[in-house]
Amino acid sequence: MLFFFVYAALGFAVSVRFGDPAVVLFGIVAVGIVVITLTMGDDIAVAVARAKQINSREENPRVWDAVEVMALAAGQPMPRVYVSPDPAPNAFAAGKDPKQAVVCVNQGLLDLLDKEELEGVVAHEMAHVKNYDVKLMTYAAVLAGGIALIAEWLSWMIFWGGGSSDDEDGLGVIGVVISIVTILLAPLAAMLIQMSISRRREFLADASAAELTKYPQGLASALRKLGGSEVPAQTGSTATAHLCIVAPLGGGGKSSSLFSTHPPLEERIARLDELAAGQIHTSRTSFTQPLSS
Amino acid sequence: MIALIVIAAVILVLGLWFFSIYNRLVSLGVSADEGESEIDVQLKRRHDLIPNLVESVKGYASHERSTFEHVTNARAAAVNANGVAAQGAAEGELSQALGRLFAVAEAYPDLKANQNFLQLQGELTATEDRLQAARRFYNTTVKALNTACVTIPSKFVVPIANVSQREFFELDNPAEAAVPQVSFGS
Repeated sequence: MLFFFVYAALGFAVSVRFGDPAVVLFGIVAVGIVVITLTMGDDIAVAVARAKQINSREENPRVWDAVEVMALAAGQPMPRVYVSPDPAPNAFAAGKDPKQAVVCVNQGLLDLLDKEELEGVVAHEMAHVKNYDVKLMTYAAVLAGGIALIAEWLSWMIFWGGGSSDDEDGLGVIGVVISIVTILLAPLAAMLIQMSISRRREFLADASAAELTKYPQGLASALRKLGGSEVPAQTGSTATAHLCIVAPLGGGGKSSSLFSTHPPLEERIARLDELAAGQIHTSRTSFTQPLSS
Repeated sequence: MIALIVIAAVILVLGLWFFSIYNRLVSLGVSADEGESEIDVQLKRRHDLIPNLVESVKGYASHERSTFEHVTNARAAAVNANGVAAQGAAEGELSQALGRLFAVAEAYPDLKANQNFLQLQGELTATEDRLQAARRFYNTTVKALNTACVTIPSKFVVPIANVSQREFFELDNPAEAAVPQVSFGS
């Protein structure tokens, strides 16, 4: 809802500057992007990853079990399950709400992690869907894009020295410079905010995963293994980067900047360890193992 | 005139607030019901697997009668348990009995290589994972519901929403609960 208010405010500002046709175009573009991303985004993400759907437990029991168990723990319907042949260990979830969710795991991840770690990663991904992060980040991206677009239009206007005939007299060089700087910085600021939101949601997904599994050590151990892995990603796009468990493009995740979609791995692991230390009891029990060991 | 508008606005806000609390309480109640029925689904799967499992172990270790009886009795008690607390206790007993059964199976390498036994063991493990997951969902929901029942302001809406606090589904950790049984003579 907040999104629409801000967008409406932006649209109003645009109409003041450019007149009505620009607002209509603005609105159509925005609505179009939102609709496409939210309805087809998960299919696009899966296609980009060249993923193959898993339709039954027999096809891939490890992944199926991890996803089904996490769906039960979250009280959500079972999402569609995909495996991507990418040897880089990573996973992502897509889908605008829990009823239309998609979870995709890379083969590299399956080869690297054991059962508890895989469950932790799948829990993190499903937490993204449960927290409606896909919707949130789509809106944030469109908003940031809209701000960038407006800033570009405005910068063109100033470049051509045009503008409406109602321009005040004596705008002055300083005024122009300030306008240019502001217009250049606006999309930057929008992107910084977008990345900051993304990092906050990553922490939230980690915490939600710890709550779903009641075993934060699983995800912490998985993140440790992922931090040590150097296999580069074969498929990855900026569009789905924020949905992945670790940042797939650039930077090993060891350091992060204000432009990272994910917080630094050490900090994520540290927070999970804190959660683990605060646990009263864990839920790891297995009576099928010999009692003597 | 202004006063009327202000009063109307205040009533509207209070009404919306009340509805949102009511809806939240009722939703938690429905989710808890759903959680309970999901636990029942997994428990039934578990109970259905046990007779075949016992039979497959009996084929190799027929003299371990006390173990088999223990499992069968625990299973019967668990099937008949009513209510979440009783179910939790009975299922904990059953877990303990199953633990002993698998400990017995350790001593028979032929049994451990038997395909049927391995498949049943795999299915039981899968069921256990799902049972734990259903249990986590139920307990998380019940925690939220119980907290809402005792905190202000939701506790005032509770009688109207017709929800009440519920018991947690506790399964004792069988590894902690199991005590080595030493018996002299049979």
